[in-house]
Amino acid sequence: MEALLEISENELDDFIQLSDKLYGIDFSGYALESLRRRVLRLMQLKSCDSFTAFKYYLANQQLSDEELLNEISVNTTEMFRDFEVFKFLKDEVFSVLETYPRINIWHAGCSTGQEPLSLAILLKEHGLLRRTVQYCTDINSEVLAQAKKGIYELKEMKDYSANYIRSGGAMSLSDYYVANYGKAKMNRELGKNMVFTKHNLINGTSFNQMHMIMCRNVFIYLTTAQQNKVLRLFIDSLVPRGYLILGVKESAVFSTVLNELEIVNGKLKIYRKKR
Amino acid sequence: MANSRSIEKKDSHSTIKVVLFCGSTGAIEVLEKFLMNVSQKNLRAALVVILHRKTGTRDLLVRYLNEKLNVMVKAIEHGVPLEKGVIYIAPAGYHCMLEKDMTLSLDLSEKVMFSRPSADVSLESFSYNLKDRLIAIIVSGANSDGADGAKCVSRRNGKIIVQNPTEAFAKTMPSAVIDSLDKVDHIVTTKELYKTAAKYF
Ligand SMILES: C[S@@+](CC[C@H](N)C(=O)[O-])C[C@H]1O[C@@H](n2cnc3c(N)ncnc32)[C@H](O)[C@@H]1O
Repeated sequence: MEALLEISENELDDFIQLSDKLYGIDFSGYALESLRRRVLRLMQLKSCDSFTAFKYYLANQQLSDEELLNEISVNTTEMFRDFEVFKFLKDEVFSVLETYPRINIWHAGCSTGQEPLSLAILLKEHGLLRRTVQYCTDINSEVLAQAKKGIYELKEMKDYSANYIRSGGAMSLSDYYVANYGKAKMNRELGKNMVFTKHNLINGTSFNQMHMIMCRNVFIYLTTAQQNKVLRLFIDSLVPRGYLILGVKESAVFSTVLNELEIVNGKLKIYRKKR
Repeated sequence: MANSRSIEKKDSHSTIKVVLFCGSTGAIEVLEKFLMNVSQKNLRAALVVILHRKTGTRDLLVRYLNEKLNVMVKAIEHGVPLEKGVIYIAPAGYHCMLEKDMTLSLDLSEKVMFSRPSADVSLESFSYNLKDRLIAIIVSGANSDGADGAKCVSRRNGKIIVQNPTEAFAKTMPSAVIDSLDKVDHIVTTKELYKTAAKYF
């Protein structure tokens, strides 16, 4: 495996420059260790036994831009991951969202869409789905295409289902999809108010008037400097008293914008814009 | 005062040693025995624990250890800086790596050897950034996660201490490490793990 491959810091820098120059993808704001690991993995996958060989491979553009992005970025996601978060939203946050005639939610780094779907289910069970618009963005258009389809492996639904119940779901998860040939197709109604847009958090524009932003497990891939920039973008996109939800193992505590946020639940990483 | 503290911090930054404790099935008992030796004063390294666990077990291990020990036990979050005298527990469901600036980072990429956290991933990353300042301990476990990582540690001059497989509840993991290397620094009994590691910090 990767155990025998090795790349130096300089070579990783080289990779960052090459992918920017040749593929137009800027990885310079990414956390180095996971980037290094993904590069090692890709080298192995393409049978490049040295960085020189890999550079040659990249220089000859044997990958499309999309492929390179896909191989380097990590898109792992689940429905109702960290069920306590969803339970908290349902129990404590929905009553605030309810006060808005139209609810805007931004899922930043939504990957293949399991997270917006999870929220859609809970919103529906509380009669809020129809007045909610969920903006789902990601840097990777391939995962967005999958998110739009809303088709998943049936066997994953079993794990999702346990977490749905623990989130306090009122029905059975199987009420929300149709099973066919080992796949689960989510009910169309859930995705009706979702808008999918390709958007790069690192140099992208802000959105307007968001009541809640969920951006979980994206900061683990960014440098602290980038995290601060993205937090700025989020604060600018939120309405006064709007909610920001990060991944449970991510934290805004080290950030430069902490003074603009109120900690609603430190463990679950639920924050609120002060004004 | 403030000045000398910041100097000390900078200094420890480039010299900090890390003990990376890796295990799976049957490893919690070994960890407990290991930790009975630890106090804030004698732990002149950072201790990072990578244990295979079911996702959803949350920070129970952290709470449990915090109650039992008089050493600071922290659940790892992304970006947390390493400090000596502190025990860090990797969360279930994420790989755990060490950045060049000695902060811990997490990652959700594919499981390695059916595991996340994986010992292979952590051993590779920690040894890359610590070289000979890494002391790796591999104990009981029922798969061979850790064997590839141990090769990286060895190549980068880190120390490798393995629990004697005959004493391990599940011997696959320590055995695989021993088999993958030409030379293991120490193969010791459960009781001797701490003493052996302490020689290096
Ligand atoms: C690990 S997934 C997290 C998915 C989901 N939020 C969750 O927690 O289950 C990270 C996602 O962030 C996206 N991403 C990474 N860098 C990004 C950037 N600069 N802008 C927008 N999305 C990004 C990736 O494409 C990937 O789909």
